[in-house]
Amino acid sequence: MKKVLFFMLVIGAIDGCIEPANIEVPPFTYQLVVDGFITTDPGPYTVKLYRSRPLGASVKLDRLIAEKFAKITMKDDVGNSELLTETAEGVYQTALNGMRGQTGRSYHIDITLINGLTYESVPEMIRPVGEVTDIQYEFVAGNGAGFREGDGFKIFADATGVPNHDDYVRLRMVATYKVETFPQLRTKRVEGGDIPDPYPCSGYVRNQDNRLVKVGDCECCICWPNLYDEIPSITNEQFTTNDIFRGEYVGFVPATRQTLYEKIRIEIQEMSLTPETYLFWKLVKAQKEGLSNIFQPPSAKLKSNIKALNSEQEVLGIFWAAGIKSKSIYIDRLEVPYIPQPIDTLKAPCTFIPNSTNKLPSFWQ
Amino acid sequence: MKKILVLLFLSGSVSLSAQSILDSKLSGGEKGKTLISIMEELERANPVRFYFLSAWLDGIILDQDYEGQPLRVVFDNLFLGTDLSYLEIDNHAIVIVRDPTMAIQRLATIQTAKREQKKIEKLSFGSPEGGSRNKKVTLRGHFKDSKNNEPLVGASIYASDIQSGVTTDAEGNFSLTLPAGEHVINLNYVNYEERIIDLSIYQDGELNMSLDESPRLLEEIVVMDKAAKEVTTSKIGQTQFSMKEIKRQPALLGEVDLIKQIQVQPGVTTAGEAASGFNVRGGGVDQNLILYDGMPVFNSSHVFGFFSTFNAEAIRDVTFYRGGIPAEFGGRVSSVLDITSREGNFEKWSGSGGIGIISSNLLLNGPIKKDKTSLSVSLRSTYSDWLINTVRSNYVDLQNSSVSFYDGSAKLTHKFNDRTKITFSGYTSHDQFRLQGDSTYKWNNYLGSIRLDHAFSSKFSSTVTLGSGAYNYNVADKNEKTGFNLSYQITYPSVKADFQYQTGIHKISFGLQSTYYLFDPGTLEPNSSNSNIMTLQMDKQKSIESGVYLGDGITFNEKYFFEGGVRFSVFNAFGPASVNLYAPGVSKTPASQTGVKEYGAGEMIQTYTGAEPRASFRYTVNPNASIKVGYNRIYQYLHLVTNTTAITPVDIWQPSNFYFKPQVADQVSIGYFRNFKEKMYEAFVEVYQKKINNILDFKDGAELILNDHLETDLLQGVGEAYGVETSIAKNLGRLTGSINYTYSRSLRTINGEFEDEKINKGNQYPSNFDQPHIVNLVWKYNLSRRYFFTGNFTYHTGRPVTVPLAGFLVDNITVANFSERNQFRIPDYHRLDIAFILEGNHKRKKFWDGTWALSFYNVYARKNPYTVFFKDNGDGYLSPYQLSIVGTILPSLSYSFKF
Repeated sequence: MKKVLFFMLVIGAIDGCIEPANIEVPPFTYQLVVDGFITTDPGPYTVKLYRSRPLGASVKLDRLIAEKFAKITMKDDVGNSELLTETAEGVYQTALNGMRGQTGRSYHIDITLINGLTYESVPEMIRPVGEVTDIQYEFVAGNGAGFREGDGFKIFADATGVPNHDDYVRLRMVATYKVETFPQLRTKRVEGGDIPDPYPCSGYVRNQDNRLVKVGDCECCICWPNLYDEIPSITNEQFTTNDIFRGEYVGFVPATRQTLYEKIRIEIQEMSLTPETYLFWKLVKAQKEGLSNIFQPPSAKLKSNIKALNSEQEVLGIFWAAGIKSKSIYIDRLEVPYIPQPIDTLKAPCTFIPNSTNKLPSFWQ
Repeated sequence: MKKILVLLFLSGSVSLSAQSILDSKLSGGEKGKTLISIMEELERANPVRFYFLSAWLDGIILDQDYEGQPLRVVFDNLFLGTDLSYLEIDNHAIVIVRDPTMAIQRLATIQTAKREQKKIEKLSFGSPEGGSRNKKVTLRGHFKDSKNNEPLVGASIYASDIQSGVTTDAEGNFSLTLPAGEHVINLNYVNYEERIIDLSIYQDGELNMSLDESPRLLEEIVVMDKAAKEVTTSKIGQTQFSMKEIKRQPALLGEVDLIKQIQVQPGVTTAGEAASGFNVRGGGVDQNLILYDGMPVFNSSHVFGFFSTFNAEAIRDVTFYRGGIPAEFGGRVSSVLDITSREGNFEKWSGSGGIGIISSNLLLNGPIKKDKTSLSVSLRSTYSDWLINTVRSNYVDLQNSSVSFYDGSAKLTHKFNDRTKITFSGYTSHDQFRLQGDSTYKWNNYLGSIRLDHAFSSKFSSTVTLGSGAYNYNVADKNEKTGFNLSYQITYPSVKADFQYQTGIHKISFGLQSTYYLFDPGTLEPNSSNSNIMTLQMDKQKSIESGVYLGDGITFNEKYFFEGGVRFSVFNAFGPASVNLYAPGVSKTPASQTGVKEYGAGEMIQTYTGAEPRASFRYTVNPNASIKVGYNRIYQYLHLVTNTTAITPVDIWQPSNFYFKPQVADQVSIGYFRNFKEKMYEAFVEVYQKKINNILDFKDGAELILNDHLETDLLQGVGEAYGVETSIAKNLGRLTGSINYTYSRSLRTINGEFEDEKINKGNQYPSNFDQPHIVNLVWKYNLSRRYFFTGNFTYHTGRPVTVPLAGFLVDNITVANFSERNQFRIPDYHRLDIAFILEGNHKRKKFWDGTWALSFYNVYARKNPYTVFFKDNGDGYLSPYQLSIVGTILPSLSYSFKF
């Protein structure tokens, strides 16, 4: 309700301004961050371990300091456990046919770092989950200064809760789109002009005449990047009638040359949460909404459910367990009320796009 | 004290006696006899002689029977408060002497006034012959403006020969007790011509005066802070404002603003330019009782706090209490801002107004029936949206947006006779704010009251007020899928009766008050059939707040004044209502709710009561110095629920109920006040400490709007504030002004039973408006009789904020790890404003009087941070940014007039 734009207008009117602030903060400490969950969908499940970043630094996944060589064990409340494998730096996964979450069971993880420090998460019980019954979208024109900047689709979902049950629900959005890039078109400057410098994954090489020669298939020209909700959509029964969540705003998908290359798949996952995890995501939501609120509600400090066992160090992040049901739709590029611009010539591997894969997703139609 | 004997007769024959005649006891039956006759009787019966001048003792009559009392007591009683005393010589001669100091002072005062060509008026009540010289007499009266007949509030009536004085009350009335005799009375009021009365008073008298606005401006008294100026007459923590002086100060965009002037008072802070309201001595914005003609105002801001909702032209006087709050007031724990609107002129029609770049205003007032019925009407309004629409901006929406407000008031007064008056008063304010394609915000205040003033006698008067108020806001979103209407309303009819009785040294006040509150905490509705919004109606909340009070202001003598009182308040919250119940032994969360208890219509849910003692004491060390002490306890039953630094129009007020206990504040303050150089300079230092129990704060991530589990998101704890306020003012000369410095802290402790009911692990933390160092400088330089150069400078420590210390990703969402609450500060705030005021000529008789004001706000274009926020630039970077509401110098030109 309280929006930045409240004041932007008045500020504009009397020449206020926004500029970087200089706030004295104590020396930064790199805190351990735990990020993972288990659901009732088949695995593998991922737990990421890395270190927090100072204010102003990037928190892009590829720039985080991974916590390598840790030992993570996922356990349930009936004695099953599985040791996770580090599949990339700081990224730990269960086996493809490994542990799978079941409704009514509790799960937690034990972590031992290479330096001997140990941690464990508070057990989370998977609660029954309702279903996503409908997904709607609405095109909105942006207010950005650039051409079509800020255009996109607002995504809404209808869902059900579980009758006679306290529902704490997160509606998680995963938007997937197909994109094409042109890594073979990279050039480099030499004496006398530019010459081709294709990425090896493009299937092209430069011959002696400084010409491009195709030597194989491109492995990084077509990708399927994922976009996620930037602000978690959570809800509980307060605003429902008969356990029906109606028209919940789930997220925003920008309409750009990239996302409008072909079509966008919208998957809405209804996830049943414990009250504790619900509170965590509620605080994330409050923080995201409050960050840029001019009225400045003091922002929420997130409470992790990871406890240090042999140190006093504060741990960030969460390991949670959720029942999950999903539904998806496609939004065609022609859904925008104008002719989409052709895709721009990105001279880089498509795998450079965050959260993208060059493997055709099984769900992609 | 130096004494000069003007008369000394000594007896030639001396007879020795073992016992002093002064110890001889009177036999009774003296009542009604003259002192001279008593002395003659004593001379006949004893070997004693009395020496005196008959003229001095003429008219002194024994006012009681002194049987068994020694003569010494008789003399002491009769001569108390006069310039007479006595000497005993060798046990057989009593010489009545007269201390000429008072007479000399009186003569000197009159001579000085004559030299300064001041007019001296002679006035007599009774005569020495007919009256009793040894009695205290009371001079009562009423002061008003000669032009518009409005009462002058806070005018000074000062007997300079005995250095004793009082100020007029909210109705312009005063009551000054004096020893019978001759006195010189000075009548002063800011910007009005001084009146000097050569008074001969031997019986109670009435003095009703009309003061003229002063055409002389080069040597006037300027400072608005009566607390500093009236060393010997004012109460602790009380300030009265001259609207004329407020109009001469620099104004943001030319809008003369009362609240902005409150914000530069010692002990007062604000969150920033666009922050609604003000914080007094570490209290929240909701802890200020703002009364407009006796009715509380719930939102005093236009345009989110840029301007106040009170049109300066429509205000007659303003009294601000930040300590030593009288028992008459209750319901807010930190301060009282008592605003009285203008009453219409009973003799002729006149008007005033102003034209500025944001708004214009007009006030018309005059008689409906001469000397019987008057009307005053004022209106202020913005001009459509031309300002917004002419601004060049990158925001596409800006030019299709609107910001507008208006406020208006009307007052109809009818005098049945000299003792009875009825007043109908109405007030409204409206704001609207809209962005194209976004929400429209509207908020309104409505007040209406009928007030009956009646004087049963010259000593006993009453005021009965019957009124009703309403505050509401509405947010409308026109989005097709998510469009909604959100509405909120408070309605509060009220009745109040105040009585004042004056007798001797006592000024007794008592009364009662009762207000019914109907809170409609929120209704959410879809704005169309296509909207996904679900209709949600929060339960209405009903309550009654009542209070009775008794107070007594006692002027023991010229040196000691005490005002004490007590207020008993009762708050009843009643049904119909549903109260959520929670499992014992765990913190209150929606998950721990066990059920709901239903209350029927009228069924009592919770009753709170409070005894609120109030006391203030003044000791006048000497005519130039005084020490003042104040204590008050106040209960507050309504709470503003906000989780933002600056309050917003869409915040909600929450009455005390089953879960929310009333806030209880205890405040003690002590101050030393002093004049220097014939009142050219005045200074004070005041220390205070305040503790507030049951103060409200919120859990992280609290949802406040449309939350039917509000008790799970709010926490109650203890607030503590303390500070030292200092001020020095120069009141005379071409350059006048004041500088004040305040050191203050405002801290809170929320230490609930359970881990999630603590803030900062239960440790004490600074409140949002904890600004330890505050400096304010205000000045006015008279360039000529009509041209002034005025200005103000303000500095305060940056207020506390909660900042992110680290960033991380969780489930692909960038989040921040925040510090404990309010552990860091935004940069300090400082700003300089100046203004040039060009007033019209000061001829007493003229049809039109115009004033130009050229203001420069934020002269050196400081980008004062209003808030610090954190922005993810889309690449995962979270960086701090500061928002300055006013980032440049803001000139403005306004014109005001009266006719």
